[in-house]
Amino acid sequence: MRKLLVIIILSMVLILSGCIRTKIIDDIQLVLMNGYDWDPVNDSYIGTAVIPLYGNSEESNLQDDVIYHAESNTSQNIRNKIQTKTPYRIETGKLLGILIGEELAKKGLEEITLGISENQDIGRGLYLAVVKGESSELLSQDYKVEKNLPRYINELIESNMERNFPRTNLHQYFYSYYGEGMDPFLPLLAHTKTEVYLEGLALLDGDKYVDSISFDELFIFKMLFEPNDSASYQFNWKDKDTFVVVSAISSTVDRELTSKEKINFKIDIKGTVTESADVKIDSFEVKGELEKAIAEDLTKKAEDLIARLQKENIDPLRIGAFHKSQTRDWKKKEWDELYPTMNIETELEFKIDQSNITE
Amino acid sequence: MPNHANSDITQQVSPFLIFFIIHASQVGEGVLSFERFIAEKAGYDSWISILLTGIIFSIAIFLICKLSIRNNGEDLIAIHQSLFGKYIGGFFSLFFIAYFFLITMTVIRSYIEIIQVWIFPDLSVFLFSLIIFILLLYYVLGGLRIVVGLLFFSIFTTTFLFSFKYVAFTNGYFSNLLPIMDHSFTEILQAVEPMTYSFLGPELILVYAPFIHQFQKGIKWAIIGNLFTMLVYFLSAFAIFLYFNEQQLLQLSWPTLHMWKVIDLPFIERFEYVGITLHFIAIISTAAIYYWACTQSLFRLTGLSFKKIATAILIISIGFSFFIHDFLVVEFIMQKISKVGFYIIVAYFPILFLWQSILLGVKKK
Repeated sequence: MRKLLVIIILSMVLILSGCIRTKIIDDIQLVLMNGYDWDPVNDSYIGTAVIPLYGNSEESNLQDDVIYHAESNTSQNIRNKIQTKTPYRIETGKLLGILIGEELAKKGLEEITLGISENQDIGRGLYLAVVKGESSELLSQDYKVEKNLPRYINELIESNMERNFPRTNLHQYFYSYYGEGMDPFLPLLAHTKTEVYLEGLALLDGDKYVDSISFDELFIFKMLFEPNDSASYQFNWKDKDTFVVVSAISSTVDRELTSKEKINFKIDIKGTVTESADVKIDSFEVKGELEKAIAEDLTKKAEDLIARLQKENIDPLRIGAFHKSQTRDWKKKEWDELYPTMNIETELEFKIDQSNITE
Repeated sequence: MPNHANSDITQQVSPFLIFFIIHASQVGEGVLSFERFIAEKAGYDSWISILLTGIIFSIAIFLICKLSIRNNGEDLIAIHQSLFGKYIGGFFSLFFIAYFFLITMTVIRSYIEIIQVWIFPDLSVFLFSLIIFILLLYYVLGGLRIVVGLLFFSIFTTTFLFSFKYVAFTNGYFSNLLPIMDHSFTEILQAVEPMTYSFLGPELILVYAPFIHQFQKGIKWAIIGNLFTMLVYFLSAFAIFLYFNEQQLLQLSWPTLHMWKVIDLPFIERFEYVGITLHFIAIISTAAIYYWACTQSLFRLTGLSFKKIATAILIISIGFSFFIHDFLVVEFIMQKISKVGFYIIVAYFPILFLWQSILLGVKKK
């Protein structure tokens, strides 16, 4: 009896292993990056899929990508249309990023992100980004990059997140899209004929792209949003008519609800200043003067940024979520009315840590 | 062949193993999805409900053990018979047998659903449940000792998998949980009911009690096992609540799997595939102990051959999975069964305990 059972189980294993569709790496095509655009003339989506071209040998050049385009009225159908252009099955399990064209981002990402969240193949650690112009154009061009383009864009965002760029990925997008008292933000990519670069941060109202933050302001945003450990900032010292670069900045941010309508941001920053011919830090006085000047400058810029976000009624800094966590019986409706007139102040302390290595 | 009727020392297990039996029979499919059900009722204060449910179950376990001890360490069938007589008691026992059977079915079926949704969309439910049930039959025919051996190992996989919730503590937001006690106490109590489904398992004590060597010593292990489960659920829910905000959580069917999606190890692109596959052991062990309990109770009730009963249950379960394709039906059964389990724990056993106390008091006089 027991032997019979063992034989049945073993034969089942053999028979049943053939019952499920296999995904052999040679017989599928792995999409590394997807792009979506909106075509207002035909009222349809344009999808782009970048698939690396693996040759027969290990030495074959990994820079070669195949790029497929397809146009369809629904985002789900794009994959089926792309499938008609290649004999191999298209698999999205290795997707590194999804780029959204400016036009489509202004129209709203909801339909695209719904399709993504329903697809169990797609991870949550990948990057969703908005592209200045059209994503199909960015993905189709030839650039001089070391790796293939999807991996290049992926690492571009990743390495910048360790510096001035706030933490973002698909999970973070869903987090702030669904969450109450917050709005999502995404990396904003742009390109010229020869290079792809991070232009800044795209700010979204719900799922619609409404505004952007340029690279120069990114540090202000990051400082208000989360703790830093290696950001940098260029300070324009107007009194002395010179520029000072503060690097290796580490900062912490603390929020405080002082009354129902007042929030204080308490920010502590430590940074390294590289001396130059114009700026010599040789006495406590100069050091104090510089610290104060930078702190004043940052405070003003931070308050300007918050005022701008309040005016546009978007909340990428998740101030509403903070307010919710400090208030009992928090109502979204009340908060929506309160937010534009909310009194939000910044207290900032700046300390210069060390100076440079040569005298 | 093991002797299922007489529980002599060669058939028994040590009392401390109840710890593993309790924990493994509690942790099943529910651990992947329970957070959403409780958050629907009491939002992010529902972690209090988990602690409450754990305490309620500890009391229930104490009552259940006392029920058996006061009846000379006998099982549910004997207790029913001595309290209600042969026919009414037999009817109650049959009800429990049906309950054990349905739990076995829903646990296996809902795991197959996860595999279909996440890994193999074209998996055949019938063939896969055939494999699982033949495997279960193999365990059950081996007797309780073999089943307990399986349960013993399942605790290591679930604890290992549970440790991968660490991402929430590095990437999550503690402010999600604030303000504490923003929900009313009634709402928190309401979340106890959906939580019960994940805590079910201690009712089986009454089936395997005669197989525990020095059963009285096992009570403390049973309660410790239950508290350990409570701790695992508490930390799981805590992790999920830090990682997702409330509105986002309500969109997800299996929050734990969604969280594993961001774990990226050097040798595997995404962790949920490892997680789902390893979770198989937890599922199998929960199903195996319920399958065993179902067979054992029926065997004690009817006196038919143990092997024949086990095989008959196998055929019925496979027929069940062959005819019910629609997962909505399974989900419906699951909701009902979790309600039934809730009332068994919070109402039926206490009443049974009281009834037994009254009868014992009458007899003494």
